[in-house]
Amino acid sequence: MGKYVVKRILSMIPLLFVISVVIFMFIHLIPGDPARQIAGADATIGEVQAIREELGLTKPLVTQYVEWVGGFLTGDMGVSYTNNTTVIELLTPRLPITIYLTICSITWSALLGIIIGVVAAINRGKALDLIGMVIAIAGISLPNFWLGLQLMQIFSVNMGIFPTGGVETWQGYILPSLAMGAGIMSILARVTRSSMIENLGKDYIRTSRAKGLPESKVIMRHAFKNSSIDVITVTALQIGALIAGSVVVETVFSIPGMGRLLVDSIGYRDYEVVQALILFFSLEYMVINLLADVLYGVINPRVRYE
Amino acid sequence: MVNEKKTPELNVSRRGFVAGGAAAAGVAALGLAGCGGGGDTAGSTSTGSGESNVELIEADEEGFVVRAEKTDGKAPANECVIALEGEIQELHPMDWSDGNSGWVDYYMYDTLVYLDENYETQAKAADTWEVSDDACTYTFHLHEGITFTDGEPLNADAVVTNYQAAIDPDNNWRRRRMFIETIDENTEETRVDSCEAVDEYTVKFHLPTPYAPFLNSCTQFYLVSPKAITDPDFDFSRESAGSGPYVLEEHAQGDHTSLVRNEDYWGDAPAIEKVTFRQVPEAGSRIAMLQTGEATVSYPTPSDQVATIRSAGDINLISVESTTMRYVTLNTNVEPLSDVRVRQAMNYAIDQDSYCKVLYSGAATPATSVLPELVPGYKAQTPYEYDLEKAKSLLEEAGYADGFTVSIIGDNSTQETKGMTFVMQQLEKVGITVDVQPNEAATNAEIAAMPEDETELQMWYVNWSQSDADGFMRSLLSSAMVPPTGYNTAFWRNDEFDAELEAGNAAPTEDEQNEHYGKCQDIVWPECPWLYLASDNSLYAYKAYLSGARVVSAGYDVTQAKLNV
Repeated sequence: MGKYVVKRILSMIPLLFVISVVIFMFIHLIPGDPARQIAGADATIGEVQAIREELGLTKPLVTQYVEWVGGFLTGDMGVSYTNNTTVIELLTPRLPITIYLTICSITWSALLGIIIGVVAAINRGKALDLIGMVIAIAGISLPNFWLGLQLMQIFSVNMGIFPTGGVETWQGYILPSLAMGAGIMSILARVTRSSMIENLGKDYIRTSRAKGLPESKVIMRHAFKNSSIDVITVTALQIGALIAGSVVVETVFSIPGMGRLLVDSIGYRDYEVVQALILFFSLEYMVINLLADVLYGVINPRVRYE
Repeated sequence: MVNEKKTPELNVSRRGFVAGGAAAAGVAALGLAGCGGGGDTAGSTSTGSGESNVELIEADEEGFVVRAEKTDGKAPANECVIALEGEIQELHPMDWSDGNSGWVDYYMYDTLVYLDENYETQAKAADTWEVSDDACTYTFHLHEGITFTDGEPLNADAVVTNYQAAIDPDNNWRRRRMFIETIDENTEETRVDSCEAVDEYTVKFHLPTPYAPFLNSCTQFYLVSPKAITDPDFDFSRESAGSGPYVLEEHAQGDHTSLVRNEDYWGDAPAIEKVTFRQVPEAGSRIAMLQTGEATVSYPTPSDQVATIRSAGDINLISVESTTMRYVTLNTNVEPLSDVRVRQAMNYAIDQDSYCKVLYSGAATPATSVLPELVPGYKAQTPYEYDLEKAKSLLEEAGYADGFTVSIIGDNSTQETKGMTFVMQQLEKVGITVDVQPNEAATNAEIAAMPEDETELQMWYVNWSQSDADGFMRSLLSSAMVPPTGYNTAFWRNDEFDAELEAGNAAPTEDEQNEHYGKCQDIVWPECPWLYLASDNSLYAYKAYLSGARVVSAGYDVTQAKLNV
């Protein structure tokens, strides 16, 4: 498996290269001029031109690309046009915040989602199933910014338990994680339930029951273990979707994270920040999918890595 | 003009940023305050949805929309937290271009003079000042004994050093534009010949030709310790080097900026120990922070939050006139917008009162000139009373009885899109079909900056904010400012207008200036290069335990305010 992991990591390199070209072209070709955004509305044309030259935007695109990639490889991710800081300085405080938020959201939502899914599958057609699926549908249907504002109203304004925003204390992470994870919890509940129902109908389950295994073992050792492959796949994909969710939740809860930075940077056409962020998100996505693939093997020894 | 000048807003133009900022307002409509007071929305059109639930905003004589009932509350600490929507991008006192940064710098740096809540020029670091008879020499007498926080004295030499740093093209700082005039794409002229220290506390600026807005420029000319401003390694986002009432404690980009009281401040010592500006992009969250006491002041406040604020009971809401004008530029090169009768007809077809109600719940004033009433030099014009018959007959006269199709661009925020939809629905009634194209702000800026022979711009739904008449009219309507040089996106040219504006800038006394500026407005108004819409108010919400704050041109000012701790 070690060999497989190394191979997978090496295959990321050409992929990242392709992504770098795509983001570079994408951000440079959409309309909008960073120099104008930096200079402000009442800037003179001379000022705008001077900024363009200062930022190297007058150079040919190929030169700009080569310079950017060259810098990146030597650890220089460039500078933010709007904030007068390096991209690294800009990302350093934000990265842990977004990662904590992602971990918190995924942890509670995966645990609860799986529990609801399993319970619902076992009690298929009964009241518990119905309750579980109502929760799941609610979680998936409520827009997370709306949910965020409601949570804030209840827990911050009315009850005064949690802060309305910011992440100076650990309490600050709770409401945003709840708002962010609700959708994932619902999706996982539904996936777990349908996968469990499918597996519970299989012949080996009947066999296990026939040979007198206690029901808890039938469910956990056999049915759930087989369903967990689906659950892992969906969870890995959902972590990618969390990036989109973080944009909204970080805005509602005034959290200075990566999602909000991305949106602001696109607005200002802050090219180097956008490029670095999208590269980072792509890398994150690849790593999580690699982890998922490795987990398949751990859970199901029949999965072989070639 | 009878102008009850109350309290102005930020005087820095920041069109792109302001427009983008309106976005959260719309989002909040779905948030906490879904339960309006069922106010009167007579005359409003069907633009948008759910509007009928939002109560109209009515302020009393002192500008209060909501007066807190519980006024005996205590602040949790001697700290004023200002929750603001936008970002504080750049604390460098000479390199900022957004209003929020200028607002924060106002707390840390002194200017020679400043614009107070009545929009009058007042003394700050300069005790007095004189303008020579030929209006070419400005002499400032500095207050004696002011020192910057690093111990350097604020004297005439310091001002000269600041001026030289500000205009240095190698620095290319954003505030350089205070002293530079752009002639065209490749030419610029400095508006000041020389700046000299006459004696220790007297400094003299000599202008090549009279330029009335010079004094206004000085209100944004922050004075920095000469040691810091000439040090290329000095980091203004880590420490401040001013002489103002507060000093920088911490600046966390995209999150908050906190300031602490300058214990050696030369003026009246501030009562509030700490002022923190916290970036809270979501309007519903800003109000929630006010409710819990995590924030003391919230700005801006969307008009649909009034019911929530009222029910809280310990929050005041004030509505103050602003220097923001909202309008639509009509490209006068494009048929049929080239016909003045068509442009007038379009103005007759816009119901400004409805616009104010639908877009701003009534917290706006219909445009009665190209300048907002608050800007010195404003002269009232005869409004284009809403009159569909007149509009139709003018269109018929121009040969467009059956109407025509025209496109409009604007920012894609909820509020701006709503504004464009409003214009579309109004013009539909006289047979004009408007193709609404909401774009990202950066895209619009690029479309608007295209030179005359390439541009595809027809109508642009936009706004502008400036504190002086020249800053408004020169930037938006003078021949020299046709894109790509500036933002005269109506491509409207009028020699007489240009001449009057020049004469106004060169006039030695304020009365003469205003006479010329008034003539400019008389000339442009009937020409209708714009659809004249409205000037919206700024809404500030704050806890009742805060008293003595004011809104000056730089922004909300708590330097002389008190918290009931």
